[in-house]
Amino acid sequence: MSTIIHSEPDDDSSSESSSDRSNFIEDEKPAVAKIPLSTSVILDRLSYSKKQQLDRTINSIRHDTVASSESPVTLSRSFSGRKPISVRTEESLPQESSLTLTSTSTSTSTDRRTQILQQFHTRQSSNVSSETPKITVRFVPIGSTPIIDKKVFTINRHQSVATLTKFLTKKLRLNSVHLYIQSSFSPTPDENLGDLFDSFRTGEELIISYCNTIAFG
Amino acid sequence: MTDSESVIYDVKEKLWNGLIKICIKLKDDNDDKEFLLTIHRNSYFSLYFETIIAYFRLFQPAIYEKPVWLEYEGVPIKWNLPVGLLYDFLYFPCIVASKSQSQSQSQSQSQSQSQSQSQSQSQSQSQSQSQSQSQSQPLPNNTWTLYLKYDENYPTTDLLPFVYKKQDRSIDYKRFSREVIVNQLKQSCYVLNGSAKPIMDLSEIDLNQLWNGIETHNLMMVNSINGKIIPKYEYSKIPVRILISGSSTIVQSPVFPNKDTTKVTLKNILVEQLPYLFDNPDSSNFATPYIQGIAAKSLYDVSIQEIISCILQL
Repeated sequence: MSTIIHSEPDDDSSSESSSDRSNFIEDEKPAVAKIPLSTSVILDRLSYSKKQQLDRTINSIRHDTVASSESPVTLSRSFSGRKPISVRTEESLPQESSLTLTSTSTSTSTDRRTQILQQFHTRQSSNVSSETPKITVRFVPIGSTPIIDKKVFTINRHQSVATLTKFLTKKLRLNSVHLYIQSSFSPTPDENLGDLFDSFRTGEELIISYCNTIAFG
Repeated sequence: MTDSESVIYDVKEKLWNGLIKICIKLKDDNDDKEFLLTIHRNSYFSLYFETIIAYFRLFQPAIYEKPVWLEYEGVPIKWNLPVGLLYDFLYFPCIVASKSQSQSQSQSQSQSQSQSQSQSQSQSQSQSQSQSQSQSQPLPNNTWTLYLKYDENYPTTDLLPFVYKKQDRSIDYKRFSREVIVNQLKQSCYVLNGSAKPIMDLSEIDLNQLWNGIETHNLMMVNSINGKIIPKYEYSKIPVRILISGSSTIVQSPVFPNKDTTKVTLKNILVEQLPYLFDNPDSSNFATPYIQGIAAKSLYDVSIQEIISCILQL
């Protein structure tokens, strides 16, 4: 049998270095958040309920997809990316009503809590589909930069730009690579890909140009 | 000029002129060496590295050829963010906490700051001025003390490493700072206009002037170019980032200035993005948003477009 050189990737049975083979870019471990000691002392002094509010907020942002999949409530799943604020509210709970809810303090706190929870889940479902916590990126080379054999990849939303840079330098065996979005600006490595996707996507893809030298000064 | 216009002008002027007192320490054998300086809230630490190094070089010559970075309580300081934002985000919580403790009431112990993306265009008001109470009772310590480091272990996971060197093998901090900061401007320009064209179309001379304006803190120079970047009438989207103290989490989501025909307010955005903090059942919305160092609770019902135009168009 002849061996096909440019074969499609096999199934993941024998692929240790799956990042090189599949169209999914493996996660890099997120860096541990460094917090000034004085701030964490203040956080420790917070009451339990306040601390919980804070933790939930942070978790909901960092792993928003994880949070929604853990939720027992079934969500209406209509994927539309993270919708911009002005459009999103048309869905199940308009902003006005959420504001009036704040003023009606007659309802008991548990009622209110469930309302909040529902509202939050609505937000989650409209923000990010729990089925597709991944985004699609398309790599486009600039100038004489080597062409990548496969151009379209999926990657988890909560990954940062640094993951892409590492992936590309490894894959193309380059010393350094500069990434550009919308053929204009270069994101900082700590930026979240999901956020970039929401703001700067073209269709359902985030188009990323890459170059081994500086392309757009 | 009407009354309200002159008030807004006053605010803008204060935002632009806001200063932060910084004490930079360098560990030395006998005793730590200190360098005191004031930096504009909307400036960047990396623009001052050369000055700082020129001083500390007298004590430790090796510092000249190694990349330096600043640390606060072991946390490396991201030099590509404005100084005022870093101060509010990393140091201000402990000022608020000690103040509220001394007043024996804990109202707002943690706060989140929001800061427009177009950082170098955004100006800030000094903290002490924005806090009227603080004048009657001086804050414990307004000076932010940071440590300068320069050993082999540059924290590349936290900070952008400086890639350029000058001919004498010292690090070219300004060249790389310019590259990174102008890229951040392009990003916010894209959000504001729906395209990065206005800034990409700037001539080399204009771009140099914009950068010189940022570097030298020259309002005239910045403003003359800013007018070409910021949309005159309608913003496409508003560049908003929300940083939460005590975490490395950043919310960055496209925010439209209007929803149908109504204007989107600051409260709308906070409730939308951080429901657990700003839309709480027990009415314990203890977090306080800060914009450019100003406690922004009183701006909840102001439209976000109005707020950002105050920051952008000086």
